[in-house]
Amino acid sequence: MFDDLHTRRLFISRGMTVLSAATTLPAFLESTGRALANTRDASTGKTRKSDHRIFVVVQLGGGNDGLSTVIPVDNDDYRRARPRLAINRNLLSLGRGSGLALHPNMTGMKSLFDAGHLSVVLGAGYPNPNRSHFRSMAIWQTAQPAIEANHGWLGRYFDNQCCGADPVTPEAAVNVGPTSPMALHGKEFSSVSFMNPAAFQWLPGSRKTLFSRRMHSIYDELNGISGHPEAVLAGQDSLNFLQRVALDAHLAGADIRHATDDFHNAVPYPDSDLGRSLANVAKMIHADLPTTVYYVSMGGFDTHANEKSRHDKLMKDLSDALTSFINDLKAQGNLDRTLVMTFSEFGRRVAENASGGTDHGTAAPMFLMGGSIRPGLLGVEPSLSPAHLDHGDLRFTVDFRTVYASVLKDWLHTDAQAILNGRFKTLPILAGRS
Amino acid sequence: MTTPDMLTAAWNVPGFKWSREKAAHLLNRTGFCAPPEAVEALLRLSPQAAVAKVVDYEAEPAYVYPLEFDAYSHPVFGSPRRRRAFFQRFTPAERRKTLTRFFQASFEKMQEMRFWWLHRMIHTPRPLEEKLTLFWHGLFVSGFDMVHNAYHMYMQNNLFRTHAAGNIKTLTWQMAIDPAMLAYLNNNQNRKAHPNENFARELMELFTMGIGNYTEEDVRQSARAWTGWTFFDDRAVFLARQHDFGEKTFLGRTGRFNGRDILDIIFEQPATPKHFATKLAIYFGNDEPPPQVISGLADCLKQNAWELKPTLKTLFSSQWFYSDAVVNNKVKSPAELIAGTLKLLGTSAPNPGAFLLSMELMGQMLFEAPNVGGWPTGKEWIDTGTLMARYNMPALLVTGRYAARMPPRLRRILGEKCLREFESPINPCAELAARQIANTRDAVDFYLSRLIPHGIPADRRLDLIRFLNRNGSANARPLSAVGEEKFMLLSMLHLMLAEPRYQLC
Repeated sequence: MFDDLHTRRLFISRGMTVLSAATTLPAFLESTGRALANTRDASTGKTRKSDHRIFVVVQLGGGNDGLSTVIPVDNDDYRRARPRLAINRNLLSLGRGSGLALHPNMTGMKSLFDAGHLSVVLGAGYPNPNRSHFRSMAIWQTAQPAIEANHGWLGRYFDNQCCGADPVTPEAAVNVGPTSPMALHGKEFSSVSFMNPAAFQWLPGSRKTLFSRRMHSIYDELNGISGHPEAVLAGQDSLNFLQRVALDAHLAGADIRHATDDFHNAVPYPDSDLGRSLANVAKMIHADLPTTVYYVSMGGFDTHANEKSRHDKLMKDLSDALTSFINDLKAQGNLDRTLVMTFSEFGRRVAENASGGTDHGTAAPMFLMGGSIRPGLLGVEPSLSPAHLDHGDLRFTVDFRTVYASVLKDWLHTDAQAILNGRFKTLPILAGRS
Repeated sequence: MTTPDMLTAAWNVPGFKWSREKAAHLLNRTGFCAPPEAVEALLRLSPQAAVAKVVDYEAEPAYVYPLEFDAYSHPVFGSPRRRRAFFQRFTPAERRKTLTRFFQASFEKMQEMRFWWLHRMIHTPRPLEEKLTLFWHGLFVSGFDMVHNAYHMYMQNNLFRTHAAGNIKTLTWQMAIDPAMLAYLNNNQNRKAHPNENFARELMELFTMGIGNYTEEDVRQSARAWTGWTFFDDRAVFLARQHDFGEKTFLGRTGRFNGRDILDIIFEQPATPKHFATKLAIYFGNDEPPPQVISGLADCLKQNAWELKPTLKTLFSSQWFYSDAVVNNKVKSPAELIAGTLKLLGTSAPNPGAFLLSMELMGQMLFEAPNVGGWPTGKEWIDTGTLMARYNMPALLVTGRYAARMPPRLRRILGEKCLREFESPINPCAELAARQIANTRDAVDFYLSRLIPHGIPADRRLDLIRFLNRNGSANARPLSAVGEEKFMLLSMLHLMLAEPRYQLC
C-alpha cells in the first residue's frame, strides 16, 4: 500500500541513506527525517500520546485599544480624554479595589476570569515605543526593539531546540492564517502555515485511485519530495526554497487534515475568522500533533474613526472565540497543558480624535489564559494623568519581554536569555509560584 | 559584475546577445507572461527598440472594457443636504435596509471588478500599463474593507492606470485627495480640533520616504497640514473652516503649510527618490536589489523631475536586469501566475468563483491588500498553505476538476455551478490538432516551451511523457493511442503547472 505512512517511511529511510552519503544535505532534510522518526511510533505509525506543553499566540492586528478593553473604572482622566468613547456602563469588574473592568461585551472572558483561567498583564510595552504598525509589530514578533532583526522570538526558540540531537519538525509551530508571521521564522526553523485545512493538500493526489497515485508520484518527483536530494540541492536559491516548502506542506498536510477531519469540537464556536481558526487549533491539540506553538491572528483593530461600534464588535468576537476555545480544551482535558497569550502591536492614544476614534499609541494589556496560569492581575496599570503621559500616550509599566521570558523559562523550560538576547526578570504567570 | 556598471545598458557590455531568453525575461517582468509569439516579435527588434516598445505603450490601443454601475453600486446624492433628505424619508429600520442594499451592491460590484481587472491583465495590448497599475495599487494602498464604495475603488484604479508611467509626484498628489484614499486612511475626518494622524503617517512611512527619516513630531505637524480635506459623492472637497492655517514646523522647515506644501517638502528629501527606487527595483527586479542599483535609479527619478519612463527604460536596459541574479529568480505574484497561465493556455473565461477563490487562497485578493503595507513580494508570497494553493490553482482554473473536494465554505464562494466538476475552459486536443502535434512527446515539449521555456531537468520531462503515455515508456506515442486524451492532457498540464520552476520568472 502506498499511503502517507509509506511515503514517510520511504522518505525517512531514503533521507537517512542519503545522509550517510552526502554530508552537505540541507539541514532541513535531516531534521525533518529525524523528527518524524522520533515522534512516530515506527510499528503503528501513531503519534505517541504526549503531554507536552502547548503555547497558543493570539495576535490582534492593527493596534487594539487597551483602554476600551480593560477599562479604568471611575477615572476622571479617562472620561475627560474620551468624552465620546469612555465606557461607563455594564462594566465587568476585575475585582473590587482593582479599579479595572473588562469591556461589557467580554462576558465569556469575565466568566473565565472568575473561574481562574484568565490573567491580565497591565501596561505591556517597551522603551522608545514605535507608532508604526509594521515596525512595532516586528518589535513584538522579534522581541528586538533596538535592531531590525530577521528572525522571530519563537523561531529562535525552535532554532535553539534544534541544536541538540532532537531536531525540530516544521509541525512544531503551526500558523492558522493567510501568511506565516515573522515570530515563527528562525534562522533554520520554518513553520507550517495554512488558512483552511481542507484546502491544505494537493487536490489531484487523494491516492484513492491508481490514477491519483500516479499523479502524485510525478508531483513528488517534480517537487523533489520523493527522495531526489540532487533536485533539492541543485538549482537556484528560489527553487530550493520552493521545494523545501513543498516538502514541509506534504509532510504536515496529512496530519493536519486527519486532525481537523476526524476530531470534533466539544463546544460550539462563533462564526468568525478567529472562531474558525481556534476551532481548528483545538482539534489539532485534541489529535495530539507534535506541535508546541499554535499561532492565530485577528485583524481590524486599527480604529482611527468611528471606533465605538467597531470595537464593541471586536471585543465580542475576541471574547466569544477565546471562551469557546478555553471551554473546549477544558472538556478535552488539555487545558492544564495549554497557555494562551494575546498581544497587539500597540495600544491607542489616550485622548480620542475628532473622528470618534483613536490614533496609534503605546502600552496596552495582554491576556494570559489556561488551566495552569496564576489568575488575576499582573503589573501596574499606567497612570492616565496628563502629567504622566508621554506626548499623550501611556508609559509602559511591564516590558513585554518579561512576559516572553516567563513563557520561555517557566512554560517552555528553556533559557530565555539566549533567545531574548538579554536578561529579563520573569513574572509569576503560573499557579503554584509566588 | 563591477558595481558601478550595474545600470549600464546591457547591450553596451561586450558579449551581450539579444536572445529569446532575454526577450522573454523583458516580457515576463513588464507584463504577466511571455507568449512565444510576443517573444518572436521582440526578437525582430533591437533590444533598445524592444524596451522602447514596452515602455512607450501608448502606441498600442488602450484596452476598452467598460464596467457599468447602477444607482446602488454608485450612489450620487448631489449635496449633503440632499443626502440627508434622502435618508430622512425612512424609518430607522428602512434606513438600515437601504444602507445594507448600497453596501451589498458595492460588494457584488467589487467581485465583478476583480474579474474585470484580471481580464485587462490578460487581454491588454499594453501589459506594462496593467503591471504598473498593480504596482501603484500595492504601494498607495486602499482597501474595499474600509472604503465600502466600489465606485471609489474603480476611480482610484483608473487613476493608477492614467498615471501609471507618468509623474510620480503628480500621482501622489492625486492620491492624497482621492476619495478612496481619503476614506481608507481617515483623512476625510481629519479636522483642526483633533487631527487624525493616519494618512500623515502612512504618507511618509509607506508611500514616500520610509521609516526612520522623520520624527513623531513631523507626523503630528503633517496631520495638521492635511486637516480640512474630505469628499462628497465622488469629489474631493476642501473645508477651509476645518483646516488648521497655523504655523507648522515640518522636516526642519517652518511655515503655514498645507498638504501641497507638505508634499513639496517630502519630494525634496533624499529619502524619497530612494524609497520609490527601492520599490521599483524589487517589483521589477529581485527581492534584494544592490544599493548601487537603488541609488542609480533614485538619481534618475530626480534628474527627470519624477517622470517615471526614463527610469523604467534605464532599469529594463540595465545589465543588472538581465543578470543571473534577476532572471528566472523571482517568485511570481498570484496575479502574475493566474493572468499568465490563462493567457499562455488561451483561456479567456475561467470560472469567476474559481478565480476569486484561487486568489484568496494564494493571498492576493485584489482591492483588499492585507493591510496598508501592501502585498508581499517574491519569496514572501510562499508558505506551506499558499504554495499548496498555487499547486491546486490549475484544478480550479484550467482543468475544472476537483472543485467538489474543496471545503464547504470555499464551495459557497465557488457557487452552485462548481459543486459539480465543471467543464474545462481549455481544449488542449483542439490546440494540439491545430498545430499538427500528434504524439505525446511533442505535446509535452509544446507545453513546456510555452509554460516553462527556461526548462526543467531532462528526467522530469521524461516523467511527464511517461505519465502521458500511460504505458511506462518515454518514447513518443500517438496521442490517439493514449485513450481519454483530453483528460490525460489536462492532468499532464496540471502537473506541469505544479512544477516549482513554473512559480518563478
